[in-house]
Amino acid sequence: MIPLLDGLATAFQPGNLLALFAGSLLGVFAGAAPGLSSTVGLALVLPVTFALDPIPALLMMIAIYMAAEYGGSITAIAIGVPGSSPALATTFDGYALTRRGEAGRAFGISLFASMSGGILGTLLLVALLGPLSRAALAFGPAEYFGLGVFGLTVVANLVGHDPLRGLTSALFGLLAFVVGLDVLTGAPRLTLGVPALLDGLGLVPMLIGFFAIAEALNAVASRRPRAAGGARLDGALPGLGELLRLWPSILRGSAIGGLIGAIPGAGATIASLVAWNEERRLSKTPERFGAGEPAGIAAPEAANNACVGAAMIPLLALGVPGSASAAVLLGGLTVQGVTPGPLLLTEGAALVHALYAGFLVAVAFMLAVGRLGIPLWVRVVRLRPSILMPLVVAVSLTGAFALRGNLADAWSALFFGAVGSVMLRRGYPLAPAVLGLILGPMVETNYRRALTLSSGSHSVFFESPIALLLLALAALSFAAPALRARFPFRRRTSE
Amino acid sequence: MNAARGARSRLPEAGVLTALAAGVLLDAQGYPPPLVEGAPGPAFFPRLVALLLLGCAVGLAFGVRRKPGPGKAREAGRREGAAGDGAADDGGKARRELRRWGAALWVAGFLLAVPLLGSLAALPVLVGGLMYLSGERSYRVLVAVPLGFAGLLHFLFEWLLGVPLP
Repeated sequence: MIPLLDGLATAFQPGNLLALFAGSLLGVFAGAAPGLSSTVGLALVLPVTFALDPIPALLMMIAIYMAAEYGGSITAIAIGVPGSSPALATTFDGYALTRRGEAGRAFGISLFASMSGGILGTLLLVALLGPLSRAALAFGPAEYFGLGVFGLTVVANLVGHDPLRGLTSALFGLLAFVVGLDVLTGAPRLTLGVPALLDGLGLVPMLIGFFAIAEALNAVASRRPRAAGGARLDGALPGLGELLRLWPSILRGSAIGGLIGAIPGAGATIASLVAWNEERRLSKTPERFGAGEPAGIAAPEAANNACVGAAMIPLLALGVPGSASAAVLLGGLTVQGVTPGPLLLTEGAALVHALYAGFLVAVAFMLAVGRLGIPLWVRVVRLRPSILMPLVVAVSLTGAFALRGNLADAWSALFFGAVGSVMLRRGYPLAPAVLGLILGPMVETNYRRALTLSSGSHSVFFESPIALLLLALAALSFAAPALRARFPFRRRTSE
Repeated sequence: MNAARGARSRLPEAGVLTALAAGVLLDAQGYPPPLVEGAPGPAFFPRLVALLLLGCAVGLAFGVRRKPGPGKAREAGRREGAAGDGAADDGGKARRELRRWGAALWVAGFLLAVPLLGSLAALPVLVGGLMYLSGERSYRVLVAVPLGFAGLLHFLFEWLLGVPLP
C-alpha cells in the first residue's frame, strides 16, 4: 500500500500528469486509428521519450499501452473491424449492438470493462512483482540462460500459422544482435569492417523500422481504403444497474487476462478470445453471444486491459518481454538507462512505485478521454490511410534521428522498415525478430559465462533446480503449438 | 501443382537465407578462440544461428507449407489485410511492389536531401510524395497537410522537446 501511495505522490506531479494525459490521448488514437496499434503507437513515441526524464517517459508509454487496448474496441464497435487484434473478440457482440442502434451502450460497457480490467491487472502487478523479483535475486548465469531460452520459446507462440517463417524471423533477430563487439572477448563480429557497426545495430531504430515504417510502407503499397461507416454511433449509455450485473463477467475476464498476460507470449489477443469463449460457455443463453450480448463485450475488454499490468510482471522482474508491445516498452527502458531485473525494485524503487500509480491514473485518463472523446474517435476511425501513413513515416524518421542526433539511425530505421515490409509481405512475423534481438544477449552471454565458470561442464545447467525447471518449461513451451495441433481440444466458438 | 509452384516461389527466400548463413560462417572463421579451454568462444553462437538458418533454408526449399486451419486462416487473412497486402488493393501485384519500392526510395531520397535542404524544407516533400503514392489526389490536401505537419513536427521536437533537427 505504501509503495502505491508513494507512487501516487509522484504521478500527481504536473509534468507526470501531463505525460499520462498525452499518453492516454495518443494511446486511444493509436488503438482506434486504422493500421495503427499499441505497438506502433509505442514505437512512434519512443524517440520522443528520449528527451524526457525516465519517470514521465515511462508513464507516457504505459498510458499509451493501456489506452490503446481500449482504443481498439472503438473501431470494433463502430465499424466491426478491430482497431488492433486484442479487440477481435469485441467485434462479435460490439458491432452487433451498433447494428441494433445501441452503439452508446456498447461503448459504455467496453469503457467500464476496460477500466475495471486495467485496475485489476495493476493490482496483480503490485502483488506479484515483489515476490518474483526477490526470487530472481538467486539467479546466476545458468538460471539466466534458462530464462533466456524460455523467453525465446515465446517465439513458438508468436510464429503465426507458419512456424518455419517464425523461426527464421527469430534467427534474423539473433543474428542482428551478434553484429558488434563480443561482450566477453571484445572481438568484432559481423561488422564487415564498418566502424559504425562496432556499437551494434540499435534496438530502437529496429523497433521503429519494424513496427512503424514497415506497416506504413505496406499501407502505401496497397492503398488501403478508408474504413466504411454508415451505422449510427449514438444511443443511450448503459445504466449503473447493467454495469453492476456485468461485474461477474468483468471479474472473470480480468482473471483470465491477468493469468494469460503474465505468461510471456500468450498476449492480449488470446486472453480476450479465451475470455469471450469462457463467458459464452458459462452463459445460460449462449445463443445470444455474437448477436449483441453485453457480457460478450465486457469479458474480452476486461481481459485485454488486465493483460497490460500483468505483462509488466515478467518484463520488470526478469527483463523478459512477453509481447511486441512489451518489447517496445523494454526499448523505452533501455533508452532511459533503466535495466529491468530483480534489482530494479530496490535500485529503481521510485520508478517502479510511479509505474504502479501511473497505471491507475492512466486508467482514469483513459476513462475521461474515452468517454468524452467518442465523437472524435469515431472520426479518427474514418481518417484516410493515404494521409495517416505518410505522417507515420515522417514521425518515425524524425524520431529516429532525434534519438542521438544522428542521421545513421534514420537510415537504420529505413533499412529495417524496408526489410520488415518485405518480411510481412512474405508472411514472416516481425515480433520474433525483435525478441531474438532482445533475448539473444541474455542467452549467449550467460551460456558462455556459465560454461566458463564450470570449465566447460554442461552439468552446471542440471545442478541448478531453477535452471532445470526453466529449461523444462522452455521445452514444454516450444512443443506446445505442435502438441495443440496433435491433440486439439474441443472449443465452442461462434465459427 | 500448387505445392510445386509454392515451393518454387520460396526458392529465392531459401537462397537469401543460404547466402546469409554462408556469410556468417565465413565471418566466424576469423574470430578469436575461447577464453577458457572447453567453453564456447565468440564464434559458437553465430555458427549455431547460421546452421539453424541453413536448416530453415532447406525447410523452405523442400518443405510443403502447412495449410492453416479455418480459424487460423481467417485470422491470418485478417492480419495480412491489416498488413496491407490482403483485401484492399486497387492495383496488381507488380504495381503494389512498384509503390512499395517507390516509397522506400522516396524516403531514401529524403534522407539524402535532409543534410542539404534541412528537415523543415524536406519533410513536406517527403509527406506529400508518400501521400501521392498512397493515392491522395486532392491538391489542397497534398499541400496543406505536409506543410502543416512539418511545422507541427518542428514545433514538437525543436520547441517542446528541445531536440535540434537538421
